[in-house]
Amino acid sequence: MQKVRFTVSAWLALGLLTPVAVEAQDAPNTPPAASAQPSVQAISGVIKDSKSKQPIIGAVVTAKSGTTAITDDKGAFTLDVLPTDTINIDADGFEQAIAGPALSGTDLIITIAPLALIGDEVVQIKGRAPVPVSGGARLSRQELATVPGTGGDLLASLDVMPGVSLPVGPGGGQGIIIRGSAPQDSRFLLDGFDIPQLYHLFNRSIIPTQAVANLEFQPGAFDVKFGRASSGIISVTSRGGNEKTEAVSEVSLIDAYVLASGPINNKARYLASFRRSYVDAWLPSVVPKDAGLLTAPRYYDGIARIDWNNSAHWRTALTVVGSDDLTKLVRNDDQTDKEFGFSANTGFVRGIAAAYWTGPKGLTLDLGVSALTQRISFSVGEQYLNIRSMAFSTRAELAKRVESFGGLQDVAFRVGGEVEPKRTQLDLNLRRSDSKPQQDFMEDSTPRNRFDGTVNIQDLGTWATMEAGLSKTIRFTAGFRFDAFVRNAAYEVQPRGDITWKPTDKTKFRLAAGRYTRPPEYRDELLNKDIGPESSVQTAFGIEQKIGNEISVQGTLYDTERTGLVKRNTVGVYENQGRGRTFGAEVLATYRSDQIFAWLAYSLARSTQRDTASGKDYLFDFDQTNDLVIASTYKTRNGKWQFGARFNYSTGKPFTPITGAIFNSDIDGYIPINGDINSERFRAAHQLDLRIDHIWKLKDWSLSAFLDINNAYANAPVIQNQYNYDFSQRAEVEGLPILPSIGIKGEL
Amino acid sequence: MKRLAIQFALCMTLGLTSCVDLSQRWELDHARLLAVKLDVPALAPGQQATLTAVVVDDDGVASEIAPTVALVASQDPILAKTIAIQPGTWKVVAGSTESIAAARAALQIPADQPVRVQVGARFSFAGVERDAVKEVLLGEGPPPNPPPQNPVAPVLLLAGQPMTAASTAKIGDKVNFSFGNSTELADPMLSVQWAISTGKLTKSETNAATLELTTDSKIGPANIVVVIRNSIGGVSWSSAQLQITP
Repeated sequence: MQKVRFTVSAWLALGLLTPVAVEAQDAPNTPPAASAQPSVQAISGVIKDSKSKQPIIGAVVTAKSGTTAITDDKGAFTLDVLPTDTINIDADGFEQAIAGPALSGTDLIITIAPLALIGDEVVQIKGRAPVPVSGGARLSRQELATVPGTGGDLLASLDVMPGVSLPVGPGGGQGIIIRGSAPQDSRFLLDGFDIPQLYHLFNRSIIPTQAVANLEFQPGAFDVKFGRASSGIISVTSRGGNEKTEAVSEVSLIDAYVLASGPINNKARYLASFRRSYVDAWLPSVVPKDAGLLTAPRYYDGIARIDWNNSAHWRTALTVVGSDDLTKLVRNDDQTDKEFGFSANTGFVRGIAAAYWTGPKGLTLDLGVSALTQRISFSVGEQYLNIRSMAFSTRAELAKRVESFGGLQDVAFRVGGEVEPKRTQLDLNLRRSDSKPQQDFMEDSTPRNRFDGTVNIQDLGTWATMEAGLSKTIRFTAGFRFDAFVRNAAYEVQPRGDITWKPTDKTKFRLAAGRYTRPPEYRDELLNKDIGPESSVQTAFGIEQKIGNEISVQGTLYDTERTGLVKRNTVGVYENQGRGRTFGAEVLATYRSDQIFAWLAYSLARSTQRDTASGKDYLFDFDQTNDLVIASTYKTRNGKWQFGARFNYSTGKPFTPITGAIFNSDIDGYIPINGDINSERFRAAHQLDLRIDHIWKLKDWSLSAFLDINNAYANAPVIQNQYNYDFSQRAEVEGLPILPSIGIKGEL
Repeated sequence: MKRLAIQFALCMTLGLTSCVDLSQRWELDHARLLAVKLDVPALAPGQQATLTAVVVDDDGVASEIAPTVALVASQDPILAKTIAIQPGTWKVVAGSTESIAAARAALQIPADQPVRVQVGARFSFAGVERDAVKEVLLGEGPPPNPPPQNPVAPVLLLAGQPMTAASTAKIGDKVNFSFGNSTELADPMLSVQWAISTGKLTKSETNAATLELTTDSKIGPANIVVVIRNSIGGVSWSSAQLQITP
């Protein structure tokens, strides 16, 4: 038996996400002799999981010349190819891969990597992971990291997805807006556990691109294993080290990081990275000294991960991730002649220990324990907020797969549970978070919340689900999730399910629906344990269509009905009396060829809320009617240059105009009079981002450099309104008109 | 300037480029209210006081005017019964001892604290109408509370000397304003607001403000106003004219 092993570099073939290993058995590995008329030949083989070596059922194998096959229940396929063809392998839960050209033979064994090499919750059931529902996507690192305008930051490029935007201005940097919902309605997960902060200031993500194995984005109607969110899920899987030692360092105008990974021994691997910004090194030299900037925005983050292959059945991983942001300003107020201070300091450290067991007869078990410590300190003038939190989380999921059950095919069962006790020390003196007259940041006439004490939270969740095939083309998932928010004495049952019909190899329909809840644990919601969770009922219907080998189009219609929204009543006390609705349509189209990758994402949406069940609907703060992203990258044939451009257009954010003001003589200040809630909008935002990458390939390492220009034609977006002291004048506060980013990256 | 400082902080931390040029509280650049006052800021039962406002026109000339409308703004019906407002004369009349005592009891206001009732008023001047609210203090408690009266009108000083019709300053000067009321200056709770129709004023919320006259400053007469407030809602004001020369 002759075995030949070779790898195809991801970098050399656009669209290839991870290396793919191809083993040819009993077949010559030399390409057929060239001929003037390329002849079609049949190849056949088996697609296998590179880790478990199990066959992958339902993988789509597509030749560049256009023929397609789907692997059968033994993972086998047969395909007519040309000698020059490469073949693309696409399987749910696995990295997309390309093999060839010059494949031949009838006993090929092609192994492809799960989405995360180790410790990925996405890949739970032998090669068939829960797939993202309509509108969702698994995003590839290589493609997204080179999206223009992001400075090579994978997580910052999330806003290329339809219906997604990163908030800027006050409150920015802390969350993400998905389908017109508030940032706190969605969750960030790293290896299955909450990450309290995904972005630094300037919307730089806390996890370097090179430390991300994959990113699963689910804008709604997500699986039962995810809870405590009423909108969407962003699940990041950290990357384990490879079998080869690697080192990467990237230096840009804003920050620099180093990352190293590789084997420790034949059973263990590591990955570690550290990043620090140095805006604080140069900003003080360009800011006037009397501005009083003590500490310019500075952040650092780090992630370390160790993986062990303990035995044939057990794998374990230990991950520690942390982040810290600090800005401090003290200056003398030139009118009161008193010192004025502003400071913001946030940070967290999370440790995760995970174990993965693969047993006999299709049994798998995922276990995880995690500890989190978090710190938030914020003060501006006399307002302050100090939070210290400590949480210990445990989660487990048991899965069992059988070939048939009760007349159903390829059936998978999953049951799981999680516990998260959390202790939070709060010391705050803040304006009430949704006091509508707070258009001016520092007017002190609005009601305040003051609290100094400890809040103990116990959230528990459990879930069960079944995924099965009704036929070869129809599969469904049905399950439920039960959440107990003990502090609030709220117990929520949330049925969820979806059904997928795949009438042809290239067409897929999916209908998903479910109920979702978010506990009232955001900011000063913690001060009132008598309120309950917010909930939503989400419905999504999607169509995915592949056109040829290079174009994929996905369309989604969705509707989200929200109830129990936490709103203040007439005397200023929180109650679950609000209602809301978001509905819309999304289109996501991609084109991939050897040299070109193009992306079009469009979202049409409307998001409304009302303060009481019988109240008047108004546009929600994060409503965005139109959101269009067109992006493309082109790589030269020799792979040394890559050019990219992205255009983004989005409807302006709604705001409540101030139509007048009443003078309060006792405080010598003005009480603003608001117009209709969110009855006006900022002007639409649009910008063009450009990016150029150049790669030098040297003997043992490579060097790449990029120039990334955010907002190339300097059309500054409107961030917020600024009013003068008596609200008689209004001006638009704009964001950065242009932000170039230059970076150099070396890879060993 | 707290607002500007915050704005600057936001610029730095959130990547904004604002630093928007909006009119400042110390700029007398449009007609506006400077203060609402009662000639007796804290009333005993049955006592009355006249409601007026200190306003400036578009040129920064200050005057004191009567309202066109005034009413009790406090929504609580018990509080609303504690005062009455006489239309036309715009006198605020404190209620009886019993009505004030009833409000104190119903709202659990300590005996040494005044009952606070808010009045609202509309003022018409310089072609504009402006609305304002002010608290009336009823049944002021015993000492050590400050006496229930307005502060003495401030005596304006320019560079330490009383301002006169002949007071001048020239472009390029940096001059200091202050006032010489020794009793009021001893009150740590005193609130001060200076405003002027030209130049750039700093320390405008302190007892002594500084005016910087640059080439952008207007030549000719400039109006300066200072309003002082004590801790019981008492208000006094003074204004003067300063000749700006090249």
